Amino acid sequence: MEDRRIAIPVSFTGSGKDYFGIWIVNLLLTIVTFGIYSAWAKVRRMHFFYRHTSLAGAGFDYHGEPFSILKGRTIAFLLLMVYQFSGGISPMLGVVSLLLLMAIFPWLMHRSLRFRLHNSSHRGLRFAFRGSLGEAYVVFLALPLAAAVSLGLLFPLWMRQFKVYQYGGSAFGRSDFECDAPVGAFYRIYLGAALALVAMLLVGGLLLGQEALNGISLQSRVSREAMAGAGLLLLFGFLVALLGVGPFVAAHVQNVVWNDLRLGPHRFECRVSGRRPAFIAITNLVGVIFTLGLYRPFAEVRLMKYRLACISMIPAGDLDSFLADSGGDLSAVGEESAEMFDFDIGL
Amino acid sequence: MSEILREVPAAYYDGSSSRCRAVRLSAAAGRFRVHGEGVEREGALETLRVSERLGSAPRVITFADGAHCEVSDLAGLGLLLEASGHGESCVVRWQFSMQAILLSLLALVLLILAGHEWLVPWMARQAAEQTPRALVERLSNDTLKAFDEAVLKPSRLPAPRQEALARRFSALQSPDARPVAIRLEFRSAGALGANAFALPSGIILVTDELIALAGDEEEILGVLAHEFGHLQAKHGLRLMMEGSIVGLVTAWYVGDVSTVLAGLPAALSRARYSRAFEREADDFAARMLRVNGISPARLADILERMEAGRERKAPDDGASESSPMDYFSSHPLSVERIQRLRGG
Repeated sequence: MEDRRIAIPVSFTGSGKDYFGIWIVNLLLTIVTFGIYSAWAKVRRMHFFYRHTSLAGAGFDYHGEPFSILKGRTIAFLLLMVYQFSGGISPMLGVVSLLLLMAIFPWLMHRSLRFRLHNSSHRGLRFAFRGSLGEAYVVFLALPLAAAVSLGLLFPLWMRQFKVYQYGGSAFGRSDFECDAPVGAFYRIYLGAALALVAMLLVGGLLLGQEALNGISLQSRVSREAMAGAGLLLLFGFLVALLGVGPFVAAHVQNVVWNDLRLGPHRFECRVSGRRPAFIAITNLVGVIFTLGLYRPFAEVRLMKYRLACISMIPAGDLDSFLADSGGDLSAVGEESAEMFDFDIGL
Repeated sequence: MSEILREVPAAYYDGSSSRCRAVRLSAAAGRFRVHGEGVEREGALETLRVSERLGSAPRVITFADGAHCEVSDLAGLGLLLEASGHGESCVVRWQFSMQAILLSLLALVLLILAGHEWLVPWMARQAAEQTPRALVERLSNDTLKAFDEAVLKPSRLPAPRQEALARRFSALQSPDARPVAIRLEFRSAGALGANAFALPSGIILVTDELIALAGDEEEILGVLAHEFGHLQAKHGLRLMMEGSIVGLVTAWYVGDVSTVLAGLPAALSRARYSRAFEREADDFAARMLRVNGISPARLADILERMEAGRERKAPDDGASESSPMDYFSSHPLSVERIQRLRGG
């Protein structure tokens, strides 16, 4: 074989039309069963997205069991209830339950990552997550606190450690993923985003100031309405900024992480553009609003299609030689009950 | 019918390596057979697990030992499954039937409307009953503080007059025979004008402008009785809970797009519900006034004057009627309410 370094794109063939039926039946049954069906709904949704995704002719599959998901959701629901109501009973109790929640959050995230990856497969081999629990406490407790204390200066570092933990801790069969994305790249992304946000807020603030001055100079009664209008404008601007900047950041982070990811000798490539995800996010939102939510399944499929189409694998040699992990990890699948947070690993 | 051997091409993975083998899968007389590229296995059809139909995705057939086949020839597999008597769950049939999808859509719309009409108010009522006293106090005090900072100024009404009014109202009999335990607060409201608000913890806020507008004390008592009606039925809390429930559901649904938008439906539903609450409070006030020998028409009189004052302030501009503060007052003064009080 001469040219072995050809990028193989990930492809997604799901259609919004097919997903619509699954989505609406899921929604109806979830409501009718007071949320209990949501676990089965999730499995059907995951099957739809996983099995429509393929790499080099082989599909992906999801093996999560509805009962495990239901258990996880029940625990999450109870935790949230405890947190909600303890604050109402006494502020002290609220603080205690918040601290407790913070203390178990990393453990939950660790379990959630393990659950998701152990239940994903490709070519008959399971993925796995081998990141340690100790590191989970660094990534989901220590670093967020450090980022807050440093007034956001450490935020990009936190995001970088989080992604490296998530991706670098993953494995496919016996082969481990490696990820060592450079810290500098994360700082560049978030600095760019912060500058863009500040610029947008400055322009918005100037417009707002002008509007307010106009209002005051006319009449005091009018000024209140002008202020309300300007406030609404600012809120709308903020929303657009978030919608634009959020996908921009996500796109660049996805690029940095995937372009640095290795699986044994194989590499990956990700080419998400900065503008396209923002365009998709905004048009999706408009579509969802104008169809009173009915566009939602189409929006999901559209975004997934784009995100997956940007990723390709650059294999070194054939893909037939991965081996299954012989360890007892797979038997532990049943106990992975804590998939609390819908968490996108971007595969 | 003769035993036809149907075959479909498939990709076979043994579950212990990532190697893909091109095989052919066939079934006949309750047994399956897989052969090709060094694979040769057969067994009972019952030992296979066939994945559900999912649009254009390949279907996965899993063997008892964890090996699996991916079949992309969906039509061929469909025939094979049909011939071997493979049944499909009704949920899957619904997902791909146009009729079932349309029916689901209809059912969903009806459920959402019914939920908004009955379930949300019921849940809000339960939640309002369960809300801890301390939380209600805090909420009310915070609201009062916010009002004071934003628009209200200290009252210019002499203290003896304030006390006399409070005494007179507490001395009234409540139609449900419960004690009239409220705290009156007086404020000068400036541009806000003649108005009264009930805060859930049992505070009724009255503006100096309302006192000035009232022809006599009975009219003021009428307004207080109306606000007291809101308090007795916990309207404020229920409204807040309804808003929270609608907001929560919308946030859950819109979720990944934006939680900011979640506030909009909540605000809309507040405006809609408040009309029913106003009527309920009017009815309560009418009963209370009658119990104490005052004509409910006295409340109608002052409502009419408040309405007239509002129209004078905004003679032509219909839009200014919905100034930001009206959102809080939620007193849609209407001819209908006044007539109802006079007629009843």
